[in-house]
Parts: sequence; C-alpha cells; structure tokens
Amino acid sequence: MATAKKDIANLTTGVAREAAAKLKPLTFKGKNDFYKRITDTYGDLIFDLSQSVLWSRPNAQIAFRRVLKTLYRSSLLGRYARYEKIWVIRATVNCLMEMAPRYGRTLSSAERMMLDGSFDAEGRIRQIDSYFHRLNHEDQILLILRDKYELSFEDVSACMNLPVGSLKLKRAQALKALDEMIWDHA
Amino acid sequence: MTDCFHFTQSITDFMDGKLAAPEQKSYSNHLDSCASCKERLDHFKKITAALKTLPKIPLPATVRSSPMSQQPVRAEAGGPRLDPNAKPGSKNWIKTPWYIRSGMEGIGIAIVVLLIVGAVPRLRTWYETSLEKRLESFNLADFISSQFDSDDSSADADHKMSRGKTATAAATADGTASETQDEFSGEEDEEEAQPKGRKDRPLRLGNSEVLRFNVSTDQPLEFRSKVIQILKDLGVPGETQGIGGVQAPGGIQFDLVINNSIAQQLQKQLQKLASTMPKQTMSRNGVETTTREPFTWYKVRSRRNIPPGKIRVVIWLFQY
Repeated sequence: MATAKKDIANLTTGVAREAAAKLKPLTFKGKNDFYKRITDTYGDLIFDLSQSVLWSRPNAQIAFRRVLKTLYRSSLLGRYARYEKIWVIRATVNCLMEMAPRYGRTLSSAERMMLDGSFDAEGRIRQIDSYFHRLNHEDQILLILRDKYELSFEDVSACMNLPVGSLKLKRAQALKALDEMIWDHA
Repeated sequence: MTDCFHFTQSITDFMDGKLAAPEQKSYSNHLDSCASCKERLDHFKKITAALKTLPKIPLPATVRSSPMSQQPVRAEAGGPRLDPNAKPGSKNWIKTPWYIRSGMEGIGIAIVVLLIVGAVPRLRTWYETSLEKRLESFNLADFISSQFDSDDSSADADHKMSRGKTATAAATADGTASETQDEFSGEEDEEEAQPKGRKDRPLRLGNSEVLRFNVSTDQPLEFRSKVIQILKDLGVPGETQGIGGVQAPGGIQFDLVINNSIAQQLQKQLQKLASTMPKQTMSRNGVETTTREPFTWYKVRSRRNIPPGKIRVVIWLFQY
C-alpha cells in the first residue's frame, strides 16, 4: 500500500508521468479490435517468426492464432503495456516452443545426405535455412531474434526467459555447430 | 596473453564489439597471429550475415484481414499439416461440441448394428424361401431327360434303354409334372383321351428344346424304314444328319434337327404309326393292366445351341 502511494507521488514529476502513460493498460474495444491492433503492429513479426521455425505457412497461421488468443487473455491483466513488443515476442516464443517439437521442420535422411554431400561451402551458406533447421528449436529462435531481428541480448533474455550469459553461450554454440556443419564437412 | 580458448569463449562478444577496449585490442592481436581463430571468426560473420539476409515473410493478406479465420493459407514449404479444418465439409462437424458429436456417432453405430442384427434373420428366411421354391420347381422328368441329353451319343443308347421307363411315366408317378408335362402326358391316346378342344391345339415349341418321341415296338427295323419315310414325306432333306437312325442295343434312335413347322405333323404321324401296335398288357391278380404304352412323347430343354426356327427331335424305337 505504501509502495502504491509512493508511485502516485512520483507521478507528479515529468518522467514519472511519461512512465505512467506507458503503464496504461492496453485500450481496445472488444476482442476484434484487439486482434486487429496486434495484427497491424506485430503481425509480420509473429508470422515470420512462426514461419521461420515451423517452416509451414498453415502451421504458422495456426501459431499466429494461438499467439493472438494468448495475448488477448493476458492483455486483460493490463501489465504488459510497457514492454509490448517483448510481451508479444515472448508469447510467440512460448507458443513456438510448444508447437515446434511436434510440428517443426524435420529434415529427412535423404535431405541430410544431400546437404552433407552436394554443395561446397559457398553453396551451403546459400542453403543456410536447411542447416539452420538442424539446430534445436531454442537455438533457432535465439538466432532469429538476435541475428535476424537484431534484438539485444537483454530483450532476447526477456523473451526467452533465460539469463544473458546463457544466451551468449548458446548463441556461440549454435554458431559453432553451423560452422562445423557448413565448413567442416565441405 | 590471449589464447585460442579465451578467444573462443568471447568470440561472439568480440564479433558484436561488446568487449572493453583492452580486450578488443588483445583479441585483435591474437587474430593476427592465429589463422584458425581468424577463420572461425570469418565463418561466424558469414553465418550471421546469411541469417540477417534471410527473407522476412509478411503476414498473408487473408490473415491480416481476418486474423482469426480458420481458412488455411496456401501451403508452400514442407512440414506436417496441422490444420484440422483443411478438409472441406468437416468444418461444421469439427465445430460441434464433443458431447453432441460423440452422441451422434454412438447413435449411428447403434443403428448400424441393429440393422445388421435385424437383417440377418430376414436374409436367412429369404434364402430358405428361395431354396424351397427351387425344390418345388424341381422336375424329375426334366432332370432325367437332361441326363439323357448330356450323354446323347449312340454309345449311351444302352444306358437309356436300361432305364426302361418313360420320362412321362416317371413324371406322372411323382406327381410333379409341369405344365409341359401336363400337355404331353397321356397323349399316346390323344384322339380318344384328349378333349376335342385340345386335339387341335398347336404344339408349343420354345427355343433350345428337344422333342423326344418314344415308340415301343416289336419290330424296330421295320418301323425304322417307316419313320425314315415319314421324315422324307414331311420334307426333311435326305442328307440331314441322323435321318437314318442309329442302331443301338435295345432299339434304334433317330437324333436330328428339323424345322419347327413340321414338328407337330411328325408327332401326329408317329402317333398314328404307333397306334397300329397293340397295347402290352399284363394280368395280375385277375386284373389286366397296361404295362407299356406304345407311344409317349415329351419335350425338355436342350443343353446344346439349336439354330432359331429349328428343333431337335429324338425318336427312340425300342423293342419290347
């Protein structure tokens, strides 16, 4: 209670007012309005992230719907306004971590043999998406967020609920794995 | 002093430029002297550059316009299809609550089971009824005649004669004579026994039928020439196969194919010829009974193909 009073007192300052504006709960008129707003703002991000991991447009669409439903349910709590993008990405990552083991891209033995035996290093780097999907799903999401979308490690940490040190180590291991797949077997 | 192990531990920070200036400088010096670490750093940079250039797939317009629509977008890349509504027509059924679906499916299965259980006795009854009908329509005379037809060569004439009893008599004895049998049975005394109306009734002949005449005589050789004469008088060509008859143990058999039109006249002529023969009678316990009719005839179905407008005639002159 005392903390709440202190927060209200801090609202008198200009910085606090700005923070308070960010802390306002999401305003939307009904479910459809919420979906439209999230879709317009983060639709491409959610869909591309899902498509990159699941490698299937129908499955990415289903993941997109699931993410929207999750966001709508959690938005009613009104506590994600400040880190809206991170909140959206985190919901997407959680959804993908659930779906990817079952519906993610799995390379067949023939594809693996073809990848390991056909290209030189330059050819393999052009086929990086195939090698990328031989990583585990967590590493895939990490590389996409960090290297494709260039999020900071702090943001990725918030999205994936992992400490920054662990993320750095995992990223280094993932890059090393790709390095070995592409160059060591070339 | 930086070594390869330390550099590997901090390679991503070095790549991102997140190290402090002294460390950055130290690692740069290490790279100048270590080819393998430099190569690895180059590889990492190529990989991150390739990841950055991966295309960003925009949200499909259909999904953007209606985000929660369950209409699936077109599949391009591989991966298992997750959408259960991809099959057209099942959308409403999938949407139906599970308890309604389960109930409906249960009722459907119960109905199918009941139908099967109810249909089995009916099918069995139907089968038994059809079997009984077939048994009722079974004609012993036809059966015997068909047996004759099946082995109709002259070598089997002895076999035919060994049966000794005319098919008409057998049919009458069984009391199972069909309409055809009714028509012909007892016609050996047609002029006396038949009503006047039936006497002029034309002989009805169907396709693929065999007309069998059995003439009992004590002089088959004499009758043979008479039968040949009758056939010639009726216009049967002399070169017709079987017109001369075949002598067999117990009698003579004519087996030939003639025109339908002369069948009735042949019947009358043979009946007239047979009427000259006396009835064979036997006295038993003081009662005189006819043991052998001089002339019987009947028709049966033939298993052979007979040309249209023709009929197969078998005349059997057997000696008593």
